[in-house]
Amino acid sequence: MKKRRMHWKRNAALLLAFLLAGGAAGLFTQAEEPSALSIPPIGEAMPTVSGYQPAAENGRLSLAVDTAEGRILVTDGSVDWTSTPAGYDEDPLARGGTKIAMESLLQVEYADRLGNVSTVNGQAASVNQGGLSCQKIEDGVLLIFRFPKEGFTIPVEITLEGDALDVSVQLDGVEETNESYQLTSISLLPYFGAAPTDADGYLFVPDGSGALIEWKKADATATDYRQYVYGREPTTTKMQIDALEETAYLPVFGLKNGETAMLGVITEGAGRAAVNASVNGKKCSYSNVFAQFLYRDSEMVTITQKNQTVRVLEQTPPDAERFSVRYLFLQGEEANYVGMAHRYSEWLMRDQPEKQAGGTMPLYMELPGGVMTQQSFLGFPVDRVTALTTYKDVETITARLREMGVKEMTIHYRWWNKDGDGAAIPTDVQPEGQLGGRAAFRRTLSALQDAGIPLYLDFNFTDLVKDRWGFRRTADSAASVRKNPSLQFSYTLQDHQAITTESYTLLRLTGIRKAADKVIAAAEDEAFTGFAPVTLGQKLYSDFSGKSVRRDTADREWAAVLESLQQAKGKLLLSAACGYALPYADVVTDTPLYTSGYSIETAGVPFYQIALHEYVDMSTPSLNQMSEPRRGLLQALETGIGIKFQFLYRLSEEALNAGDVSLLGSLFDDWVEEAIALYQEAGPILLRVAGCQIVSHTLLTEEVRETVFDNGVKIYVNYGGTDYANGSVAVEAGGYAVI
Amino acid sequence: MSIRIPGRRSRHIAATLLLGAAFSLNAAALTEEAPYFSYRYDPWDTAVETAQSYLPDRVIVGENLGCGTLSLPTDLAVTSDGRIWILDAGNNRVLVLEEDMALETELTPVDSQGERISLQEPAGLFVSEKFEQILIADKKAGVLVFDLSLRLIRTLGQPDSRILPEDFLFSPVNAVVDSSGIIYVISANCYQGALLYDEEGQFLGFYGSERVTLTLQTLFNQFWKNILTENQAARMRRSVPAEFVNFCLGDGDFIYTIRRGNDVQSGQVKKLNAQGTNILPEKVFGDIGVTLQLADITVDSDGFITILDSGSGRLLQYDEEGNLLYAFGGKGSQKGLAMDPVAVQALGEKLLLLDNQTGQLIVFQPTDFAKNIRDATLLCADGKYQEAMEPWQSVLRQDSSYALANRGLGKAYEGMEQYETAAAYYRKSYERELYSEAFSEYRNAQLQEHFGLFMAGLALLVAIPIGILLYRRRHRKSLYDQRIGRFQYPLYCMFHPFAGFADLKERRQDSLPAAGVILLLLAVVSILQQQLTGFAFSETRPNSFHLLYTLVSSLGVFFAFVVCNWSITTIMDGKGTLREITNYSAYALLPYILGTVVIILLSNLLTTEEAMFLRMAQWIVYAWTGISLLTALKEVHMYSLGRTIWTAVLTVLGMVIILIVCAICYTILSQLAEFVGSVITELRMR
Repeated sequence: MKKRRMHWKRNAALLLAFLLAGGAAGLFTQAEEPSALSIPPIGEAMPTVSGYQPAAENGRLSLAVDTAEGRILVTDGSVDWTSTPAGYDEDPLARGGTKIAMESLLQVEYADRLGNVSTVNGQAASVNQGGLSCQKIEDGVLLIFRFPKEGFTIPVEITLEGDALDVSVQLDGVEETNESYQLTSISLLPYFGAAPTDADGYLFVPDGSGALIEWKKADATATDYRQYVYGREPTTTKMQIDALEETAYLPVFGLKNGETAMLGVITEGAGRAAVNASVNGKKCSYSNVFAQFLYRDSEMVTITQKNQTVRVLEQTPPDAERFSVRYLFLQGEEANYVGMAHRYSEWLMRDQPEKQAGGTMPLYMELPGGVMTQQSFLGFPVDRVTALTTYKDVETITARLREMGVKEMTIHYRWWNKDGDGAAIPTDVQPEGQLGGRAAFRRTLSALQDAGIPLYLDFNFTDLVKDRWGFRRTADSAASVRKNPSLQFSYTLQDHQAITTESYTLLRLTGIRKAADKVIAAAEDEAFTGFAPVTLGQKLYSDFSGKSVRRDTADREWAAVLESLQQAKGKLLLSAACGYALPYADVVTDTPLYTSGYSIETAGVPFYQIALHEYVDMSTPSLNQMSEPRRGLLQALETGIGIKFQFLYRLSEEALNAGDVSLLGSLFDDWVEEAIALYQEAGPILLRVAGCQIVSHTLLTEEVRETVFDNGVKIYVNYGGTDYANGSVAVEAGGYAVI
Repeated sequence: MSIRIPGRRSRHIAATLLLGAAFSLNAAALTEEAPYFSYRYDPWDTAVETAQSYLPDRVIVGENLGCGTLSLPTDLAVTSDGRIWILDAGNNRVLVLEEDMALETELTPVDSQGERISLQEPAGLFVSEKFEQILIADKKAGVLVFDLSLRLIRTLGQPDSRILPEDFLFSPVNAVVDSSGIIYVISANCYQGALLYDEEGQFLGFYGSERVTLTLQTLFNQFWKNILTENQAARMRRSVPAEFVNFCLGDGDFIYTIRRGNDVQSGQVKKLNAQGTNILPEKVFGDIGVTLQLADITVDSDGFITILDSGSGRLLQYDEEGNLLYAFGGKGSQKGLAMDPVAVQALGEKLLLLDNQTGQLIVFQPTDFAKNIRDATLLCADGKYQEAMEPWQSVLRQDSSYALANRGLGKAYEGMEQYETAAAYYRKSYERELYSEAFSEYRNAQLQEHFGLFMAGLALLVAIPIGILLYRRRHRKSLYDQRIGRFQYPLYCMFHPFAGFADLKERRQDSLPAAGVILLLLAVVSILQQQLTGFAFSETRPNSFHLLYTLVSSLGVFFAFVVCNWSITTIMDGKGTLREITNYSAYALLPYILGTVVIILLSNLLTTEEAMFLRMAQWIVYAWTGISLLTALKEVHMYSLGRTIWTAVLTVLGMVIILIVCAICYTILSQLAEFVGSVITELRMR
């Protein structure tokens, strides 16, 4: 019944929209007018010649193009990287279709009028149909793929820049001339660098902390890897959850083949990209990894009366100028995931030359302030904030930790504001009365400032939990592909169905900007260390209503807001932040330590931490929220990052009944001793490697890992149940060793 | 701070309320060590997240073992030496693994001559160390008894029994051997229970069959079957006992069975003794609110029962009393999930899960959280509540509202005669009976301590009303001399309903403001009743107060009554106006309001053992209110008693009709809305 009511409301809203729109406009698919002008030539046309002919060269790399077949060859010293693997035509496993796919530089998906999606590759549908033309441009070539049957034109620019190969789809040159077909996705260089069965190496994918697919170990029958960068578009309302997965936080992928390696960084349009990987033994004898871009996003809509599911496509093409992937090539010592991580972070921090992690190792703490609960006032139920950690409690906690010998602390204080966890979008620094009110708030801020304890205040600029003037769910929510409000639900544990009775929506970009500007102005006189706009670092979303931002360019917009927040206070804290937010973060807590554990993956590696270690202060997720805090400690040691705890100072019956389980295992008094013990055990070791670069990371066995820092410190950790000994290194089961 | 306004229930509260019951996506993926949550159920049958209980330790595939991919394996067995036996059905073999998961041998079935034989549809595997036998239940070929080298000894075929229907097809799903050599076999479509064979393979009879419980439904069916033709009768639901799906053998030759989840509402899991009697309480096993597809059961040496729901891929572990400890796992292709889980086996405290589709064997290891729960449960089962305190406290450190831990601590404090603390812990675990016991101990102690004060209070409580009564008796005036103030009537009518209401009608002294105040009191009292009723008697869930609901069930009902009564009495010569009916009925509710206040007070002082007193008080209040109301109606309409009762009955009928009409309107409107909505959706999308 409740579900029905939801539908009812939504549909009533739809009806209204329908009437307002005057019926017809915008209701039917508007086919793009076929553009009369084709792309004006940028460079000079290249003759169609079989075989690779040189196209560009710089000191480091050279690029050659086969203008007849549409293939490329990049030479890095003595190493050749080709878009079509050598010897592919003799692959006994590959069938005809797969072979043609291996010859292709592109793979596109498109939808017909019924919403059925088909895949074609560049070789079969364009090159073999005479659709390819090449132009020589500065530092590279422009390949224009015309798909005569499907009516698409896709220009791909391939250039060399220093040690990198840039491959981009020029989006303003993309044309759709056949009204029956709409382009939905473009995959770039699907078999670039694909490695044969007998090669030694792995594919690197950005699942969670980072995962390896070692093709010799991987299960060939397992489902191919496919993950959206920064997670799937959140504005699409999900009525049920199929799987609990880690996010792909970073827009990267890689491939190591013997002594050489390649790293792909999705430099533009990452918000619309997915990373795909498959191993040899299934379709063919090659393992490959590549980026795929959504040209049009879509949403499945169920028409209940007919029990039918329809695909609704995004109407307008992306706003970004291009979808780009930068390929970087590594050799020798560098040719592994550590080398890839360094190259990625060099690119990521290219505009942040000063960025450097601090040389301290504080105890990180996440303190939840208050939660909205139903309380009894003279027997009558009232909604108000129940305190978990008041402003005064923050001081008490820090004082007690000080007494017990903890000198450095970093605090992430959330739900500190008016209405606690049920707050509207912030436009001000507004303390909550139940936590002590403004006077106590200011006292605590100045006390912490005097004590030199960094305090980051959480500001939620994305989740419209409660309405406030100018930030209302009905008017200011980002819309989904089918232009519905971006309803976000909680899900039942036993069958993962949405609980539709309660929800919140996501605030659209204009609202985020407005709120952030107001907060920056209001916070000028408040003495706290920095903002913690945690959700901005985690949720990247589109707004499909009208001319608003979508995920292909939203990462820049989000980054701009984060940058202004960082500059306002000089410091910024984020949690489990995605790649686009990292250049502006000084502290990242809750860095990912796990992968989704897809069956195709063979090992998880701390790529995220390796990439950022010298740039950003990082911490684990709260150790007291893990089933085994000690294992979390080992993970901190393996990656050289700080340890974090979540503390709440009081847990009343009301708060217990409010039932947020993430709070139930965090009472300060229960955990303080263990927290201090763990911090005092690991802190000194972690301090030695704070701010250092991780120069090497090795999986000695499945359970034993070695990390080497640039100051020569080596840390070994053993997650297994048996002791490990090898030469001078001995690590007991569940323990660690430092050399 | 805001008082709740009906219809504008704050979104937020419910959002936090639900967090316990559910999870939100953005927080989900960040700290989880496995691609699933562990959860338990709260006293209101809502699933609540708890700390991770079991985590996937290793995933074993055929390639790692060096024996090639497993093909459609169907069952597992574990022997006391820790060896693991896998029935690799698709490859016609049984794999034997050592405890450290290395392949020991690979057995191929052979007949007594040593000729290789093919299993047809092997479903169940059991290894008896005592009798050195391997039993394979083959759905097509019967139960095959092998020696430990997988050489066939004998086959148990279709049993010869008159109880079985003629068309019965023997299709064994699983078989076990107990310590005396008796073989128990479960066959599909066998409603008589498990089949028993002796060591020599002679059929002995049935075991664990249950009678069809005689309900109204079965009697009704029986009645129809006598009337209907055979064909029609066959189409009716057969009333047969629920079929066993699977079973396992525990220590002491107990047989643990599971029944098909959708056949029974509770008691899906049974622990049967040698006589076939269930010694587990008749609880609900499996997930709540989902269709169960229980597939396998295993019990470890400590008596913990684990069941597998192959529909959701969930594993649920119970203690010996059938309390759910935690549920975890799921379906999928991530580490720790299975695509098609078919069998679960306990290996010490670890759990092994077999995936039929991928041929993976997943090894789950308990976390410290689960280990603490298991340790404490065992200590409590031995009555060592004090020793169990430490593990329970560790459990609460990670999940402060874990009910069994709170109960365990309650028991420990009760043992130490710290009743107040014990009551507080019982309260947290929503154990009303136990709370009540501890509370009564505490209350009695308090009474003894402050006996003088208590007696003085009691004396006052008795003396004051008696005094008032005596005073009034002495100064009694005749009714006609009495000048009762307009606003004294409600109270006067409460104690003198007959005279009061008659007088009221005669003097026309009823007042709408007074009635309004009473109705306001009614609303207040019904709110207070929800909020302040003592824990031992309160069924309401904290934080779940709905003002609208409470108002509808008090004031809404009242006004519906008034309107119905008015419409009926106007056509039946009633003399009361709508205003009068409202006033009189409101006046008549005063006993209910004051009585409820007393009941609320009492509920905070009495224990569940003394619930009788509370119920008595309640009946007195109801009777008083009833008499009051009838008198009021009688006087207001100037009816005879019979006519009053008759109109009252009609009024109630009228209220029922109003309710039905409302329900129908709601359904029609919501269906219309849904229809219009989907038309619009379709228009928009096409």
